[in-house]
Amino acid sequence: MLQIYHLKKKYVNSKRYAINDLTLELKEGEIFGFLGQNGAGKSTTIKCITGIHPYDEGQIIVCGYDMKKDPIHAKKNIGYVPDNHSVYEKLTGREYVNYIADLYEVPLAEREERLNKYLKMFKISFAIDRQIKGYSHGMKQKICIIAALIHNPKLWVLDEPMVGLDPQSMFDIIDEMKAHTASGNTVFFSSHNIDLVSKLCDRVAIIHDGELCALVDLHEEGKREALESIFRNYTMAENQA
Amino acid sequence: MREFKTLFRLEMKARFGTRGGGKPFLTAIKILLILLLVAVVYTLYIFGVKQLIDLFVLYGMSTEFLVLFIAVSQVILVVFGIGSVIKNLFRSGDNELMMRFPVSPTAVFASKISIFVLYQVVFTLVVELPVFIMFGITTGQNWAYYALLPVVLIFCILLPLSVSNLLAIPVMQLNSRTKNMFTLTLIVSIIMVAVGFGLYMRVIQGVVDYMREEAMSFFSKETLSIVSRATKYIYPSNWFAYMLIGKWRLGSSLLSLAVVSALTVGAVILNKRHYLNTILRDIEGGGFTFTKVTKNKVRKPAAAVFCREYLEIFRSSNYSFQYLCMAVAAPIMVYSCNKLAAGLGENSIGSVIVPALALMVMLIFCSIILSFAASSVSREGENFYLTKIVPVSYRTQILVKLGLYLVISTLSIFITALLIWLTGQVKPQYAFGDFGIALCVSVAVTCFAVRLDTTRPQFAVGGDGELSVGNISTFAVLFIGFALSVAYGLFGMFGIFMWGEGITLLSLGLFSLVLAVASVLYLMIGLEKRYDRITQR
Repeated sequence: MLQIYHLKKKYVNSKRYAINDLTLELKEGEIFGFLGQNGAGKSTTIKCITGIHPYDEGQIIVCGYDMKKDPIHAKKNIGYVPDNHSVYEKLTGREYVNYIADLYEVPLAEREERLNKYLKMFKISFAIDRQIKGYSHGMKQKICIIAALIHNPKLWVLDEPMVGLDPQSMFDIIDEMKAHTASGNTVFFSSHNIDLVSKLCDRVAIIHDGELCALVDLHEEGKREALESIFRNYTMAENQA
Repeated sequence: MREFKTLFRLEMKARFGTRGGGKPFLTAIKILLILLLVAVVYTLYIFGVKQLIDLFVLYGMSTEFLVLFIAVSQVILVVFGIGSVIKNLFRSGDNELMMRFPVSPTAVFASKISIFVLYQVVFTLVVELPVFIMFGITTGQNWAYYALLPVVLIFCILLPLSVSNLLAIPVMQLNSRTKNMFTLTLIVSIIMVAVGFGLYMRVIQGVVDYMREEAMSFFSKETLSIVSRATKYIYPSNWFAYMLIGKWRLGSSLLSLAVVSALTVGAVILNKRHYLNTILRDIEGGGFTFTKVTKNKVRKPAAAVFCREYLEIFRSSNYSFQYLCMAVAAPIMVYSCNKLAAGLGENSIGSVIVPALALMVMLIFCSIILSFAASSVSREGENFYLTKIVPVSYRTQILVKLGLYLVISTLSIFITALLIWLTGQVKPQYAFGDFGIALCVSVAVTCFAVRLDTTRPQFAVGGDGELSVGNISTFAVLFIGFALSVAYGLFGMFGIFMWGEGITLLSLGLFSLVLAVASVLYLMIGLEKRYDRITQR
């Protein structure tokens, strides 16, 4: 589903690599968590995967399409929810979702079916024809999620998706993540919430200072319970060093 | 007091703090160029005002000059003041942040208003004081004039400050209520621009007519009497002026003091009572949004980008004014300018130069309209990431935006060509020759503008998602556009004399075509890579 090989990324005017030699492979049907401290390189990795940031070295392959060589096909298979829930606020919710659906060339019947489903799920039918500018933080996050899912992407990427959401909306997103992977798709999300990641994910990558420290299979015995200590071991050891 | 000092320092840092980045050599050149430009403009201003003082004194209208000067500068300060008060006091991006800190609303208000006062003081000292001094010297005023000058200057700062503060809240309310009436706002803007410009052109035309018909005599007896009568009723500017020149000094001084004090106290009371409530309401209101029920509709990706870009412009009063309003008003402006310029040109040179003059004016307005294209990427602001993640090539996205700008500017210059032909300003072949050339130059200017913005976009957007600072690429495009227009105009006039209209317009057309092709190549070559390199951390 997603293959990252020896990814390296350095920001302009920066001497250190924000991501250094990162290699990861995500399988179909799994929920993959991405853990790391602030500034570890989680968002930068996600931005490289989604095509927002160019990268210096390495390869990113989404559903068989190389992000550098065939970005359009690669992007067609990705749905992305950003951490800052930025959207075109002058549009109404419906106009925005339709805009994104148009860009992904989603047929009318499919978009209507999905839109109705998600509006019901996230309980924002009442606001869909209102200008996004007046939405609350959580509502903007929800409209971002709907727009990301409107083309039923094979790879759903979320950057800190639970920030600012009410508990019910968090449960709804968790349910949707499970449903999305149940039909063979993959979810890749970054989070600071170790408890959530340990309960929800199949596998977890821990990143520190732009480098992959650990790849944990949570189906292995005891790993789910030990995730917090694994994370602390890697990050604190590095910090003390 | 400590709160105020800290907040004031923060405000100063936010506005004038170091910006960093950039190469020192280029920054130095940029500063030098800006200083040079400021020096040129300032010299022209001082020289112009001195000429005007001399002219008024010559006709025995020195008092009228002083009253008019004070009135005009007060109006300018009030108009800009209202905008500035709304933007910096009531709708400042950090208001929400400030409300969370343990600082009193009075300290926040005082720190923000101090910056505004500082601007007023600088304006008064740089723009008004030299004129008062020049006036005093030219008209040989006594010591009392200079002794009272600081008092009048303080009045000149306090009065617009108070009026701006008193008017800001009602203007803000009106603005909020009409914010989502996009078509109405656009129509009103167009009418205001057209009427304002029409009036301005009438005044200029009047000056030209007087100079022509009355043997360089600007002040006819009738004009003298109108101006003289009018200045008697321009309160309180006339009191300020009388105070200085000693005409009914005690009375005008007391009245000036009373008016300024009353307005200042009124502004202080109003803000003390309503400042906090108003900003809280504004933060809470999130800027009055609208509801529009639509059906789900399928569009091709390119059409979707086109519609979205159009809606983003149409639903922003700033953007629709900068682009749509200017594009609609341009034909009227070109027609009026052309009429005036042709009148002047015909008089002194000959009617043959009219097609070249028309072309020059057309190109100047094209540059103004199309300079908007220089923020095509920057305007995406926080949503720039969306242009990167969607499965639509950067080339397509840029071409669609380019198409939108060109469709509107082409319509605008086509109507302009029709207008100048139908009103008999130029012959049809020259009107449409001008149209063809302007079209090619439009393509060139748009491509150049977009190229600049894809090379170095500035995503400095405010809380409303709109660009909050002047984009350097926009200024560059305006400057180059103006230079190109003047070059075309001069070459056209010279060429018409040398080779006649046909050959001149044909050669300009061919050059414009080459320019357009070169600009398209300049934009398109390496566009994907250039766009891919744009990042926002």
